[in-house]
Amino acid sequence: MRLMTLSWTKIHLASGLLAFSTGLLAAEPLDGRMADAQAAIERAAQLPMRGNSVEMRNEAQRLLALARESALARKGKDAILHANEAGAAAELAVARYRYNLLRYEIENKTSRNTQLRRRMLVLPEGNTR
Amino acid sequence: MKPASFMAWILLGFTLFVGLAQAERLPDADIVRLETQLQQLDADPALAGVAGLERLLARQSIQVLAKARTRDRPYALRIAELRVETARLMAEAVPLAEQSRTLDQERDAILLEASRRDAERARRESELLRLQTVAREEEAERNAVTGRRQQEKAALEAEAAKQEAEHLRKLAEARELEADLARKEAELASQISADSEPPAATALLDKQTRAGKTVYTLAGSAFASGKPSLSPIARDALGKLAAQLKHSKGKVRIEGYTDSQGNDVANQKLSLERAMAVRTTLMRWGIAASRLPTSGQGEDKPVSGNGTAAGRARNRRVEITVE
Repeated sequence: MRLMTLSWTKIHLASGLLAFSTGLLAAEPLDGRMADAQAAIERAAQLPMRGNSVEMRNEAQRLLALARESALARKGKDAILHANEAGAAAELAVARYRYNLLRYEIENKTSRNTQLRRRMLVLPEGNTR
Repeated sequence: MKPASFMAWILLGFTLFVGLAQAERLPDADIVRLETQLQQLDADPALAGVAGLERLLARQSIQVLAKARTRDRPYALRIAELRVETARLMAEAVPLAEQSRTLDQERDAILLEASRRDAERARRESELLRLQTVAREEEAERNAVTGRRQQEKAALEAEAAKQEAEHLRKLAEARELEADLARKEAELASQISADSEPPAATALLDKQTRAGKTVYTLAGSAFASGKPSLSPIARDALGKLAAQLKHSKGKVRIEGYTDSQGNDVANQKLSLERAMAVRTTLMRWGIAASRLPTSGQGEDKPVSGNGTAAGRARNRRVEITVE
């Protein structure tokens, strides 16, 4: 077989090489992604979440389960995608929790300060406790 | 076909493939939307420089979305949306945390102000108590001064009363002395009068009628001063009266009186002795003793005031009542 002569054999070899290189380039460490997502979900699970934070954490857990199912089904690409989405969802759940917690704290502190000021007005020389 | 030509065709096909692939990944509406959200986040000066890691992850996810194949695009879009929202929330949480700290500081300031007011109130109450204590002490001092003044005033009044009593006592003594002198003067005047011009016998007996009875009053000048003995003129007058009484049978009651000078017992005794002297004289002139009930009345029943010598002279008498 001459090297520079186009043949179906060469085309198949080139296509296979191209597909292999593409697969290598596209391949991502599935276990690492799964571990990252698992860690993010565990961090979220340690927080006393409520409302939309809980919804997002549950979504992350559902996505991680999907990723595991895909990995078991030897669908590595889908598994990575689900794991990435699960990790992002878990981080969003934590972000929502912190944001909501701060809003709640601010409302409470604002109300508390208002009451303190009111007591100061009602009892201008009394204690406020 | 020559080998060089074949390779040229391969390169041309690869280039077209890549170009078409890139053409499919041009920014679409979702990417523009997500990038716009990130740009708005970056443009907010209040959120500048915060949540840097989350923003970087969001940009990377948008880049992945832009390069994602059609099959993977929904996953990439979802991940990009999650990352962008995470970046937004983490960025907006920073000023919220700052606001929370500000509220805590505000609370501390309020409590500090309350404590300051409490301290101020306590200071005022303490000052008020101190002033009240001072006022009480001043009041007590005033009361003490008032008490001392009242004691001094009472002492002065007691001294004045004592002096007044002493003055009254001396005045009483002076008046008594004056009265004594007046009595002695009257007696002297009576003696001088008796010595110089003896009164007529009838002048010594004053005749009156009381309740249908004849009463003869023998004036005090008929007796010597302080003695029961009758003067000779008085005895003559009683002799004439006895001559008249012989013509009647009734009782002749004899009562002696004195003035208020001297003590009661002596006056009682003197009045009785003078009445007895009159009785004795009448008996000598022939009047039966049974007709002559006699008594001494002392200084009772004065006929005039004892404040003057003339009055006291009128009170010194013996009344003879013919019944």
